Amino acid sequence: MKKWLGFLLLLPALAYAEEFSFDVSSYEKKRYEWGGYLEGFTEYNQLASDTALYNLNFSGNDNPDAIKRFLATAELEGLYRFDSTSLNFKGHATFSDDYFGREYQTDIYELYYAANPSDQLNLEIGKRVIKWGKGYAWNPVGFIERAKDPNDPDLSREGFIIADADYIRSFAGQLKTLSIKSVILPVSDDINSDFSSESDINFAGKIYLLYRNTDIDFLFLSDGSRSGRLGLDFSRNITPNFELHGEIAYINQQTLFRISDLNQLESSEENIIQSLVGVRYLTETEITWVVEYYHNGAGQKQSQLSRFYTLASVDPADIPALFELANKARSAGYTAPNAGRDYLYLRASKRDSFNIVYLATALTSIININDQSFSLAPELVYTGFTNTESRLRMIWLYGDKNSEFGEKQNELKLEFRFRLFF
Amino acid sequence: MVKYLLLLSILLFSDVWAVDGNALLFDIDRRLQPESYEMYRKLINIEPDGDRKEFVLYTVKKGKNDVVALFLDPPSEKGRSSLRQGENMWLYIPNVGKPIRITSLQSVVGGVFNNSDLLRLDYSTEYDAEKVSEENDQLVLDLKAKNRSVSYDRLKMWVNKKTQVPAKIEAYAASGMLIKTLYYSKTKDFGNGIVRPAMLETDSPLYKGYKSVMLFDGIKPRDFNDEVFTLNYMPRVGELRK
Repeated sequence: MKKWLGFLLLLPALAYAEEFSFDVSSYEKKRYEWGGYLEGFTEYNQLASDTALYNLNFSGNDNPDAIKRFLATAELEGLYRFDSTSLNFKGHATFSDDYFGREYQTDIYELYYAANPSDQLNLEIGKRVIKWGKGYAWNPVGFIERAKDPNDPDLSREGFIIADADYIRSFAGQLKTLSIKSVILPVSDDINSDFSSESDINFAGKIYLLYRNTDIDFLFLSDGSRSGRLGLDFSRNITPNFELHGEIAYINQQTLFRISDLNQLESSEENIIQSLVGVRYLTETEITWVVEYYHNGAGQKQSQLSRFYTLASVDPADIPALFELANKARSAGYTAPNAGRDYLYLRASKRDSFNIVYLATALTSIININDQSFSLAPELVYTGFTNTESRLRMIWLYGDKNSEFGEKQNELKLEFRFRLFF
Repeated sequence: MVKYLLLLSILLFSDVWAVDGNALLFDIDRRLQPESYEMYRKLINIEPDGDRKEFVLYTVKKGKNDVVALFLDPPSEKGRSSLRQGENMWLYIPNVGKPIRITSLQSVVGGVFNNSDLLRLDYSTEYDAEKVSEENDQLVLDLKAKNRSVSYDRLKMWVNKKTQVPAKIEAYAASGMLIKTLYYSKTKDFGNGIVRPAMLETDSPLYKGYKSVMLFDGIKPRDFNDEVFTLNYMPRVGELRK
């Protein structure tokens, strides 16, 4: 009887112990690991039929007022460990269905072999993403990476085939860390042909210092498939809740395009500077502000963009030569994201908004300083259901005639993204 | 005679008999964990309706200033690591692909725990003991942050007199507002002479009805190279696991 009574008295304690169980063995290092996510993405684009890019993109079509787009994405990554080496993989598959048709695409974003002979040395060979710079929306010193989308800076991107070595040393004193990274990036018709059309063996490198509590990087890319470039970036906490960062890049003889007074697309080579300065600030109410100013020395002056928008607005039936020129200018980068000279990026975000844990809200704006046009994007992100992320976002574009955001094909975009992680 | 009276007055009115708060705080730290160690933690956020979200972290620490924590679970957070070198903190997210600087007050995953809770250094590294008093069978330490980079300006720590491990800690902002209360419980022998609470519960008046629980396991003394606590190493922290 006493035994049963004792057992009954122990039940709540047993239930409690069960409630908070923790089996460490299932988290120890295994021979292989894998994971990834499945994503469903849908967007509604309210088009602006009186804009230059609408004319350029939809001329000859049935002049839609709005287009919808659906994307299904699967990203799978994993690694297999040998002794002190590993084989790493990241694959990305997308199915898209929109006004222009259906498309299915698979890419290997990363596939590389990594060796760690010591804690100080890391060697890698294969397809690998290398991301450099301290900027959130833009990275002028991102010399060997694919362009970042400032509307979605955290999206994963495809790498290039490289070989790299990373050597780290730590010290006592003002200089706490020194690391040297060297990268070889070959380009030929078969390898990394989307890095450049010019075949060459390219060298890049980065020297990192943590000096007096400031992160400092010196970076370079040799003259080869792309024009040579030098860079510097830094990041430092001025106070515990206020961070300052910056980047500057000097690019030697960069090929630039411009539309001449004679309505021809001309190219020239110029030395240019690209720079960024920004802050990250956490307020007492736990709102994180990111503010960045970006100077794009390779960007088009306002007068050039205005000329392009005028060309892109012509009726192809009336003046086909000018419309053709606008198409050529598009291929030369006139419609690339942030093709202008000077931009401001503002983002205010808050976790656990409206006292709802796992609900994050954000308001993001990208402003073309030269023509005062801008985008404004409020968003809600909810991560309360385990292994899921739901994001609802609206992007509203505003600008005068012949301004960058005023001449985009859409005036409003509403999108919903759902991710299931595994 | 005067000499003896002088000696007696010194003994009566000096601090010779007072508990050295900072030495006690140092002892408490060593009872909680070695100065350099590895450990696993499970963080459980419990919502008012009973719903839970669980996170598992692998943490390594060296000396007074260096600590790095890696998320192992759930899959949505897997691979994220946070590094702290004294007052400097960085976050590495695999998709972002490079470390960014963060502040100690930011919440990493939402909920009651913030970066500083997950990357806590020794109490004696971050706080000075200003006062030690007694309350029943417990010692009560009033702690003041050594600098502004520490998340909580003041801590009030109730310590079991016999085991010399904390039982309860109240964390206050500089304004005097109570930010959160932490409760240590379930003392466990982790081996290597480490006998300490295996559970830490937290609630906060800022998150009414919410509760966070942290479970500790696999605490082992271990030495690491300094290079483990650098930005370059953040993507590889998981390789330190045995």
